[in-house]
Amino acid sequence: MFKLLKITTIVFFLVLLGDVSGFVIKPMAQETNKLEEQSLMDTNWDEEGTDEEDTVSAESWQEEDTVEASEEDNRAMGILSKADLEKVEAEEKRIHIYGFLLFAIYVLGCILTAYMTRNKRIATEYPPELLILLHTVWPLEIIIVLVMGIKK
Amino acid sequence: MWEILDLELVASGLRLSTPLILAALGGLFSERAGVVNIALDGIMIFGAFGGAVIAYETSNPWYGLIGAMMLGGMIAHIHGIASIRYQADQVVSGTAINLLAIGVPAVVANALYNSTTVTPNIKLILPIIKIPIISSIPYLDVLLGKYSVLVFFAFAMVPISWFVLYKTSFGLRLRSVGENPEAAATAGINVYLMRYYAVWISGILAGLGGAFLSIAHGSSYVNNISAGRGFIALAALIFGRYTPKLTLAGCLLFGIADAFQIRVQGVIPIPVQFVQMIPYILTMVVLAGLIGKAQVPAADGIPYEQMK
Repeated sequence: MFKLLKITTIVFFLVLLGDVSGFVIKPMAQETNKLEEQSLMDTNWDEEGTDEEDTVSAESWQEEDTVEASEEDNRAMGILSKADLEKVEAEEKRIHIYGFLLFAIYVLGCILTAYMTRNKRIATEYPPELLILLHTVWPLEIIIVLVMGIKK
Repeated sequence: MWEILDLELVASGLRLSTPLILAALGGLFSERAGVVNIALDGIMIFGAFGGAVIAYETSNPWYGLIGAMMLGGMIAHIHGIASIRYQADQVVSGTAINLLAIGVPAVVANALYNSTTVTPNIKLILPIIKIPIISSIPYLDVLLGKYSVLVFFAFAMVPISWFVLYKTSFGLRLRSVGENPEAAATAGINVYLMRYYAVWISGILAGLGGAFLSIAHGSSYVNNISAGRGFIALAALIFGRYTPKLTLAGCLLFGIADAFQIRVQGVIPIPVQFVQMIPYILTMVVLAGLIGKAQVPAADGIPYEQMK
């Protein structure tokens, strides 16, 4: 039975790791964007191609595709395009699935830890106050039980 | 006037009774083990605050939910240590937790967000679940169509609590320490440990009830977010005569009364303040009528001292 508890603990940490990697990658991506922004800031804009400006002014703006313009407007106004919305929804779904898994495993872990350790040294030789505190942070309790020995 | 008495009112009542159900079930475990937990309201506030802060900082409401459970459990544990180990008066200890819940979140919120009354809005709240078949049936879709995941959890906890209390050896031990702790101790039950478990479970459930307010029903913590719901949950518990099924009925009654006072505001020509009193007046009426009839666990509120 104690094996089940160990497996639950490992699964808990794996799910936690999986979820945490989700919001560790995001700040990293933001950092990369920042670097790109910085490289743009380093550019000497005074010397930047004035020739291109001429070509831009020579273009017929009435024929320009209005879709692109509206997408840019939307972005400027903070309105998300369909692709962006799908991306956000997928991210939310990921958060909810991982979150629910974590919640379920935490609750299961609380019950299993209380049940499995009821006759262990940690439950019989130490004050009950400590035991309850440890049940609240049960992954830590499993580690302590493993270190202290799991025998009765 | 009559148009507000529709299925939406019941649906809203179900939603508003969720924190009451969670807190009342928490209270049920505690009182059944012989520990008066008047701190439910304070634990709910701590749960709501902890949940909102963690959900905001991690951008994940589920972490907030787990954090609220942990915080609720730990705060209840303080009440447990004071009233079980040190045999303090359980009502006084609970009141102290309630008073702490007024000040501590304000101090921490001020330190974190420069505001003593609110925390920033969280980006993502707990998901709202649509039941596939029911949401396509005309009237049932309004009544049972879509609710936060915590609403389903709260209602699922009622039969689970009943099962744990009445059909497991843990429940039997827990009830026995609430009825006759000396006899339970003679039978080899660790009275302290069982009472600690009961108070811990009550804290976890009340913390979840608080988290519902800040990360499922709302999207931030505001000062005194529970608005006395912990005390109403206690009233529902007394109304329910310390049984899960009747406690659920009590919570639904108070939840629907709360939904009614929200919907009736501005519809009838009575000052809003009087309308807002409806759930609290109902609480007093119910308590005045039932408090003598409820079968209180025999050792409820009586500290237990182990013989040496």
